[in-house]
Amino acid sequence: MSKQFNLRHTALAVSALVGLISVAAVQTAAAADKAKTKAAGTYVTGDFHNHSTCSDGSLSMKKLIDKSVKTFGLDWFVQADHGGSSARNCTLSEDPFEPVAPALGLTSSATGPYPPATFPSAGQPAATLKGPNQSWESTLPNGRADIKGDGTATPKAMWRWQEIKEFQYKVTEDESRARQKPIWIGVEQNAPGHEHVSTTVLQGQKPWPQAGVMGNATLQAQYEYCFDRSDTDTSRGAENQWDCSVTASANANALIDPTAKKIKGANGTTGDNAIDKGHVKSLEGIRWMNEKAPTTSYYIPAHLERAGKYDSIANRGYNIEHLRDFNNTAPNIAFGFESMPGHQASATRGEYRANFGGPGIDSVGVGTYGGTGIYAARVGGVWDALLGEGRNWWFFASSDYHNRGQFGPDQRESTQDFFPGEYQKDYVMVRKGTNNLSAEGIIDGLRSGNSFAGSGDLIDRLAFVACVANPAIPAAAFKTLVEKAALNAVTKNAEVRIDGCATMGEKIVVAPGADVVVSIAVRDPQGTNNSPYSFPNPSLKQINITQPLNAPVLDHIDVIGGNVTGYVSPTNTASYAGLEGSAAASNSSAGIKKVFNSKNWTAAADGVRVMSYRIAAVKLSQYVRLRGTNLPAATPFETDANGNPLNDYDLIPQDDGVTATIPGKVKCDDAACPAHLRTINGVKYSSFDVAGWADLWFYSNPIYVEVTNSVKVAGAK
Amino acid sequence: MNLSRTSLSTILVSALMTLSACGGSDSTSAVDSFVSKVNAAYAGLATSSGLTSAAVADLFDAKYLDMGSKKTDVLGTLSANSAALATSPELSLFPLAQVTNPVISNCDANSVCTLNATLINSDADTTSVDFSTKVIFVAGVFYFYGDQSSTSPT
Repeated sequence: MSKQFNLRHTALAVSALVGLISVAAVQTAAAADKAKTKAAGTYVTGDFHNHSTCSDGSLSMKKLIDKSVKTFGLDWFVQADHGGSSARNCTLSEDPFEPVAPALGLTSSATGPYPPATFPSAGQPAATLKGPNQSWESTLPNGRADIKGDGTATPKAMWRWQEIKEFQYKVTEDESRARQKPIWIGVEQNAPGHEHVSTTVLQGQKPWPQAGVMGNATLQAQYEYCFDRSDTDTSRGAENQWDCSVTASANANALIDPTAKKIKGANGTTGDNAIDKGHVKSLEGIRWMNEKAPTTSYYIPAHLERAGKYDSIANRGYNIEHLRDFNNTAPNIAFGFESMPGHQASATRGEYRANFGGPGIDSVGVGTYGGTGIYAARVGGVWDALLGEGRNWWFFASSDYHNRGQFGPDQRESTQDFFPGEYQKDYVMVRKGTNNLSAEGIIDGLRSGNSFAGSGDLIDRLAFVACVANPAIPAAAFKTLVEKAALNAVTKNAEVRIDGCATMGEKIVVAPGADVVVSIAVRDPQGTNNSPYSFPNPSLKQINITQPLNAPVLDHIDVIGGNVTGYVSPTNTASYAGLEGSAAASNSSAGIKKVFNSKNWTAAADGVRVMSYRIAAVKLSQYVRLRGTNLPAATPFETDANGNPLNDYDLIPQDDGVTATIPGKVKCDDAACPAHLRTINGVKYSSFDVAGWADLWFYSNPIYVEVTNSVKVAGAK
Repeated sequence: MNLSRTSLSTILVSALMTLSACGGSDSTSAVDSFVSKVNAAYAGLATSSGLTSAAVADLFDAKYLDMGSKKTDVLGTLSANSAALATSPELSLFPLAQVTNPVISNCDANSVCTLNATLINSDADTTSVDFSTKVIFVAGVFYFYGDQSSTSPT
């Protein structure tokens, strides 16, 4: 049963326990760096949240990595299984791990029609008790005796800390160096008090381009031991004898169990599991990261709407106050969310649905909206509320790969997940120079907010810049200059570097009354994406647009803006804490400020579109951000009249039974519509992967405009 | 007919004959002088004093109007920036640029001409665009005249 969220209850409990929620950490910040101090950079693609058989995934580490960085060409990758424990040995490869004929008897991609029936990939899928599905106990030299820490089950599960430290790290580093791409290991933390969080503690790891003596993931392993809700081991990491205390965190340290040397328990009602204790422990984990690895860690809540609203007794969900708490605790570590979740091909998109957490416990917003959770998808919602404070709170996507549902890993159809890089990507600025493409540089890029994310290769390049208009230069000339700079940048897959201009994650500081010119250049990649389907997009077919499902076209871009009114104090509970839709979780000033489409953007070569927007006489600190889609406004069941994405759960309602009984909304009536779609009375409905490929979006991170006599944008540089 | 630094001989005999104060070499030097003044003033916009200098004010004709912005608006914005710079060290500089390759043409009976030139920013990555704007020639001196449009850019 869910428990009604109670603001006063939570606030009192938290402050009584440790007083951890500090007054908002207002940082001083400079305006965007001078152009000449910015090393030239490039946007690189990656994904930081996916699973192997070391948790509940279906592939070996090696095959998952191969799919991600080879088949789908990601530039960087973080292998991040759940915390806790698992019995399977994901370091064993599929057998044989070498180029093999496509699995499951499918037509070879070399001889089949285009698109090929399978993805080229190494390694036959492993059957039960084969390859990475074998247990640790059956594959380690000394069997059970080699598995450390608490546990009595047979086969004995290995704690994730041991998997990471002693087994998985080596595979990760070997793969990274062999493939010459930054690949490292993280953890999808089962967050105490909440659901899941994508984390990394990089310190000690030495992925490519580092060479020489092998690094280690000891700190990542320790973090998992200390702070994962599902890690109930009390061994202190066996011979490691870890102590999870944090310097100068006396109140929280007082909660540490003397045997386990960590805060035991999570949300609950009594004892180790007290009300809100899990949330307190999560904050302590962020504080620990900040102490141990302040520049090489991150803490990014995953699919944060899926499990429903926060529950102070159960461990699920996030409300906006928790995101504020995280960011306040360490803004250099908790700087964003995965509001575009994985599982985009599942029966209910993103796995968001009614009753996700049990009867009456719906995902927040019930479904995703164009594949994005309501926290980011609703204009004026949670994300805009956080940006309206001037926080550094950035948008990310992840694939959260586990399996392909009823299909094998080498098949191109999916009724569950897409591989990393197949459908969603995070595009992150990495600056060249001595650190060029490195894990540290990528984490710096994630932290900077100079990134964007999207699905289906709707766009693959973006230059988004805001410049204070120079009044001494004729307006048309100035606009042309900034547009050209954006065009040049997107051509180089880079950013605009001009003094007085800022890009994503940055701010410009202007005098009141100044004009600001916002220029955008995007590339709508020509050709096809990774979709195996070339029949017409069924969503667009409703409005008489015939467009191959694997060749999407960017329809329009929305410029979304809102005012910045400053950080909200935790003591102002009415404004600090609240559910989605409440005043605390809204920014009423946010709205769609401008819409660009083929009528008002300039088409350049190679699918590049260039456009500008002038904000005249700014008086208030504010931000602008972008989203774009392949679907026009008022596409039935997909977008409303203003172009906002509609609830995917309405398009694809859940069938609780094994056999579909509830019709979808959009028919898939082309002869090529695949057999696995929801089919009722012989009618196929857009669903599963087809629904995902039909409805594509991208989101940029914001650019802030700070007005000198207005509110300071504290979270951005 | 163009008036440029490299095609000076045509100045007197064509469009600019209507400009009473305009002579061949004088006009050429007027173009050069104007561009020099523009570039010097633009470069000065990085400093508080430069933002409010007479040099920048002297770039604009009294009837300047460009996409709704009058000379007083321009100077007011620059002045506001100068004031803000004094109290806000984080204030972003105006993006700066230099003007090259000026060509003046299509002068009318009111001595209003078209300036075609190249605008270049070289802060880090060089950005170069050709642009066109109106200038006015008064007493041997060119000034920005603007597009005379009262419509604000969007």
